[in-house]
Amino acid sequence: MDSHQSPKPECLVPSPTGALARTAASALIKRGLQDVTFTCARWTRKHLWEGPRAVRVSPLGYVAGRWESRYGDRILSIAIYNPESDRRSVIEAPCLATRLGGAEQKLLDLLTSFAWSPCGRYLLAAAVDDPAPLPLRLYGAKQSEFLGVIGEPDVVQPVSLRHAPWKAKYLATAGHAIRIWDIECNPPEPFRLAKRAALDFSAWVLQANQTPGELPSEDLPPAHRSGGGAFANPAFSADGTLIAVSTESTESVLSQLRKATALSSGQQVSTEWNELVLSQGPESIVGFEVSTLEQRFEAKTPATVDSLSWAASGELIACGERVYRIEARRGTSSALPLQAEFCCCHPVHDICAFASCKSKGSRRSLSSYNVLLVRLADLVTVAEQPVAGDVDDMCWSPDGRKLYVVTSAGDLWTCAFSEVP
Amino acid sequence: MHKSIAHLPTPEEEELATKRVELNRLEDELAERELRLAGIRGELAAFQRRYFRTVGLLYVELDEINAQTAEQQARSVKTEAATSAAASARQRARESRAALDAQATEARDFAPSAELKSLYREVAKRVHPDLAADAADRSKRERLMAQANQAYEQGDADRLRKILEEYETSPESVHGSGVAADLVRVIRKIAQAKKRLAQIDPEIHELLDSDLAKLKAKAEEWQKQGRDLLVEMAERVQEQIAGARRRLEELPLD
Repeated sequence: MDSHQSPKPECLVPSPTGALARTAASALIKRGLQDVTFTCARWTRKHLWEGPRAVRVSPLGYVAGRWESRYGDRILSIAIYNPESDRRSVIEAPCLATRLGGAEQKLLDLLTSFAWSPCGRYLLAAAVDDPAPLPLRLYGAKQSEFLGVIGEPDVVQPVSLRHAPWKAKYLATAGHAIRIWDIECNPPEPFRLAKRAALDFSAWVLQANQTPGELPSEDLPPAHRSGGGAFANPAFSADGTLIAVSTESTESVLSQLRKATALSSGQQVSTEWNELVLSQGPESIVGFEVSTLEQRFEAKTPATVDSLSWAASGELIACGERVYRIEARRGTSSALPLQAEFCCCHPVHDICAFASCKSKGSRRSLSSYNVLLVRLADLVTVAEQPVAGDVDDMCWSPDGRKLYVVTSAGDLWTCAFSEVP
Repeated sequence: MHKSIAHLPTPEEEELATKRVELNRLEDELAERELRLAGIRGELAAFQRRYFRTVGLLYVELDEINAQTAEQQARSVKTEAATSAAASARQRARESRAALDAQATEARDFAPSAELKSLYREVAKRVHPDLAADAADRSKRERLMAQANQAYEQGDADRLRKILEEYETSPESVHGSGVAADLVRVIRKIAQAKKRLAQIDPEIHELLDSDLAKLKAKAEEWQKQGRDLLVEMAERVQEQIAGARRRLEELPLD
């Protein structure tokens, strides 16, 4: 061998084509793994309760179900289920309330909204629309017990509850006034809203670097002072900005805002934290940019939107009679060849859970549903499960390894994805 | 009486001997770890080839049909959203095709013999780049080690022998003279070996944490239950292909 001859280099510069092929190969492998993971979903049915209307899963895995009045405007009772210990406890029920006297009974009758604290240990329930403002009710998840009321009765009248993703200890409530709660305190303490500016459609913004509670009382929103308006849709962006829309206008506008709140009760702010859906116009959904509150998109949707969910890819999925995919960046929407009434996107993967009615009879309670897990990229159904009764709510666990489906038949369906098939 | 003078080792020579023992131990350990790393790489590569031959090509077919469907819809609907969806579908089909083309279509099982393992261990011990004395030596060792890895993955014992022979007869394998120089060389080799040993475990963890390794682990779990994961995946994708074909055929022509 000639020792002076330098070895011939095998590859000086990696081929871009090769790199692209490797990336594409990784994508194909990831796709296969995703298919196997979701295809091997283990569905289990647990008959927990009769007819809960909504379910919420805490970051610690506790499941809260609530029963609502016939028109869905009042919470009748709340129960907490711990999947690990398989323990279910009704923490608020009319029979319990009757023992608490007239004031407590009235409070329970007015509960309209509930949410888990970001730490997952507490459940908070709020009441609305009563001339006498009411405080938040706080429940401990582990022992499934009522811990007490928090806040002064004259300042809290929340419409809805939102968590700040940037600091797990903050919670926002909105109603005739907005409060930010430090729920890690014992007992939780409210902060007063700090006002930044009144924007053109009466939105109020709290910057992350502002300290709540420092501003004087005259900075309270006028809606609070006048008592004629209300706030809806409080939302935190990733940088800690809190946004809420207030209105002093007519009941119809207010009800529309509440409708928007109800529609977007899962994820109101997009996964990229740039867009915020605030209102649903006639056959369209309007999105606003969080930082400026400028309108970002108005996308065409079916006349009635029953459910909205942000996909991990940043698209917004809207379900009415048909399913629409809204590309928020471009403001375009397209109808997908699916029919579903309810959608709930996976927090990590490009998978969306759809609930579609198989047979719609005159008696809605007799309908049965299929829950489909659909990959949004190619609309392939990766898993499917028929469930009896209407699908009232669906919720992914925070790590995306479980899907909870609540039906009007009183069943809690759990779809678990295990590493081992 | 004439007495022969016994050569007593100098402190440097004693130190050199101690360091050589340490280096030998490290070389053995390094060869063993490299063997494990190469084994994992080989197994994953073999699984990847089988995956692409069994499932990957079906994904490519499915993506192609979906792209045709989206293009057909875009031609009939003529909206911006439909055009955009068609372009995305076509891009996806193109990428899947590129991924498949880049793969070796011939699936091979990776089952190294004891002789092959022993040969690889010997090559790793002798020609490992992190045991090089200088830049030129390192360059040569890197080239030979890459060839050795490839030969091991392909189960080519003859090629491993040739690599070993090539290095043994090359000038770089001749050590310099002088205790001090040897001592410095050995100390540097020890440092390099330790550095490489520290790198191997994270590399192994990274490989085992990859999507491919997770898929392979699932396949092994299925195998214990008497099922073939890849075959079942392929059957499922074939059903999806049939559905996609039906959707394409149902679309109105231009």
